[in-house]
Amino acid sequence: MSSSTSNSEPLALLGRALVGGCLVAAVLLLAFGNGHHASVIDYHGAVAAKERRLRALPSPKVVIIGGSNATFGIDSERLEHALCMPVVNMTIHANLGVEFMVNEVKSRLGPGDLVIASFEYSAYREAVRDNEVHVLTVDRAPEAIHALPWYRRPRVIINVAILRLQAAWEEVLGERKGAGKEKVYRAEGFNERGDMVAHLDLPPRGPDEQQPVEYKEPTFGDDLLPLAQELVDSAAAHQARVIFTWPCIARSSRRPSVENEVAARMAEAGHPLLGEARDYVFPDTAFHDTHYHLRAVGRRLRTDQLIRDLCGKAGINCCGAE
Amino acid sequence: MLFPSFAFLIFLPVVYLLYWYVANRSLRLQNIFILLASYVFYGWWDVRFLSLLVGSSLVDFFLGIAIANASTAHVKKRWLIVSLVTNLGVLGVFKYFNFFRDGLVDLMHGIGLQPDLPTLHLVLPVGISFYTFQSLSYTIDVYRGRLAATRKPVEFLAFVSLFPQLVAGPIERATDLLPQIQRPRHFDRAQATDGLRQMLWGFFKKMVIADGCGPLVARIFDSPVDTTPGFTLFFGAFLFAFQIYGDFSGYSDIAIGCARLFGFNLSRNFAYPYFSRSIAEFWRRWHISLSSWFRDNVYLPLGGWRNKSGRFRNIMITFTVSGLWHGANWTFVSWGALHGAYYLPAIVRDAKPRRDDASLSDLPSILFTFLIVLLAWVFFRAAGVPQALAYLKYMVLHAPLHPGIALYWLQQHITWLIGALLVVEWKARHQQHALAVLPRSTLKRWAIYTFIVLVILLYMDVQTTHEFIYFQF
Repeated sequence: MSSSTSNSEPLALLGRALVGGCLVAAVLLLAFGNGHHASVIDYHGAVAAKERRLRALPSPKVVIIGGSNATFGIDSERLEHALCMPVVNMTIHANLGVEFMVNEVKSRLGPGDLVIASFEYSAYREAVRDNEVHVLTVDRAPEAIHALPWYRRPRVIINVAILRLQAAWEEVLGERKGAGKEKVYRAEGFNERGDMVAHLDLPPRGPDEQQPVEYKEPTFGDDLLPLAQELVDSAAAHQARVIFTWPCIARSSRRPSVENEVAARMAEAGHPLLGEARDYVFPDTAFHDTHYHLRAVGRRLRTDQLIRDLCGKAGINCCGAE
Repeated sequence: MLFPSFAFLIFLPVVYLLYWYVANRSLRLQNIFILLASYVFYGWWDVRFLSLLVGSSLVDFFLGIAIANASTAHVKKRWLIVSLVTNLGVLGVFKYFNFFRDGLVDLMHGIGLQPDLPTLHLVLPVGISFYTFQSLSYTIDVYRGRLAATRKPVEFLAFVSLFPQLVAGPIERATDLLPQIQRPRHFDRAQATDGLRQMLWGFFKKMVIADGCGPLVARIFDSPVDTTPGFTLFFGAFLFAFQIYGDFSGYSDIAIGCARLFGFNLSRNFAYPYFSRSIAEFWRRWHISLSSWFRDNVYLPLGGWRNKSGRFRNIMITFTVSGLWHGANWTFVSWGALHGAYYLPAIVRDAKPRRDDASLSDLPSILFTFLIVLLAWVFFRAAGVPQALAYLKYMVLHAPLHPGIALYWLQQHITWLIGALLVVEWKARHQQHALAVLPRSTLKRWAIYTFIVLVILLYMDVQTTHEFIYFQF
């Protein structure tokens, strides 16, 4: 067979396909830069304000990471008074994945900082996520792209551009829908510390309007421990400290076997979870729309429990604790 | 690895460049490279099942040699039976064990026994039905003397695992594909360019038509049938007909086009089946590689069309087995049996198949054929046979012609996109694929490409990953 390294035809065809690809890229670039957000709901855009606060706060400070159990279920102001340190609640959505959460904060820690990690049980199974939540987040808060590893960024950026192109097309057709009556899942539903507060005054929901927690096998995946170690090492390098805590959960969604495995695996890896899982289990009526999202009364109980554990079992200096 | 994925967008040009500029130094290198690329493609989904693919391929490789070396017809047959038992056994364990177990348990309950039979909790390896049948076609062809057994394992492994068609076909005959693997491939610009066009049309069918229909189909089929308007149920079945067509023929177009980039010509798998004028014609145009596999390996050995009294039995057996091939569920068996039953009028009339392409004057028979195919699709999509029957019942009973609801569905973008698909494919019905013949003007051609890409970008679903329906088979 003759060597075809001198044959330029395959390359020429690829070149023509690349020209087509460049045309597509130009269209997507235009779509990306047109300023229209793809998502009508701006909930994920709250990441931008959280990152600004993280950058602005001096050390020592408290940085909360995790999923929406901490977004809806921690009173950062109360925590701030108890620990006498400013708090930034970076949490927004479990589907961002622990990898994103760790990347978001690890280089922005300083001496004396305290990182409180509160991951949902699904995060222990699947710590690395690659899904539409990244796309929606980057659409609303492009600076969040830094929290993704480089090899995941092109796909997210392309998908944001495609979504924005589709949004512009819907606009042209007059079919673009607004955020509607959505009151809770909006960027303005957060307070300055990054807690979701828009749901606190809402009436309780019935069991049919609450989403229970789903569990899948295996309970504990391979990705979490390296990420936990990376977070602990980064914190140590910046003279900061990490404490892993239990997520809040509704009684009917509780799985003691899952809690036991998580406790055992984390302790074995040298990252024990603070306190007892059972202390973070609350009645279903204390929850809003999912069995992770606490309402006002549960939020207060959970925050008080967290403060007791931090000040007692974790030995944190709680100057303002009652 | 999915075709419409970011990973494949990187994988394809990298493999293409390495194939034509690095692996092109010898046939052996070309085959080793395409084999490795195929294993990466397959392993991307779940690396654990690579061993099953390699293992089952190697078994047939050695059995092929054993059949070729056998001194007597009896010994040849014995090795062929080993191949059949091994391949169908693997398929049976992974795909059908629980189906037959449940059937046996029901039967034993019926006669008053309480058996304690185990249930297997196995993940179905993607594409197992496709590569098993392809591998099996090799040992059958060697047994029948149509093909010399290959002595080169790389050649055979590449034949079974060629990545464009590995997970959802076309199911290639060893007599067609293996000789292509055994001779060096040279770059053919016209062939490769046409392959890219075919891929583009395949992506349109998958990402716009199939993925666009999918959520609406799920919504309609999951809604309670007794409170859903009849026209909506009809439209749900109509959308599913195009979802499965867009999904599967789209995959086939991408696979065939992709293979052409690497110098392989795969067999045609779809030939505009919804323009068929009879059910027999439909099956000559739908999933051609599987239909012809069953024709040659089940239907003809049973006696085929020769014996008039046995025709219906042979057709019913073939279609029922074909239904079962699609999945271990009574819905697929019913779907296959229904298609078999559709043949009855043709058997009674002793109708001769038409080989010409359809024209507008054939519209009544095209619409009738489409309608009966659509009714059968309800069984294919429904969760169970009772649900399919209820769906069909309420589709007929609940105001099947409701102008207001019809207008609502007519206004949906997907309806117009399906209309556009039908117009383009009707115009191209004499060609191998919809974009096979384009204007000579480069500008016009590029305008068409750009337009199709733009439509894909505007209507693709970025937020959900849609696997191909036929991956589960």
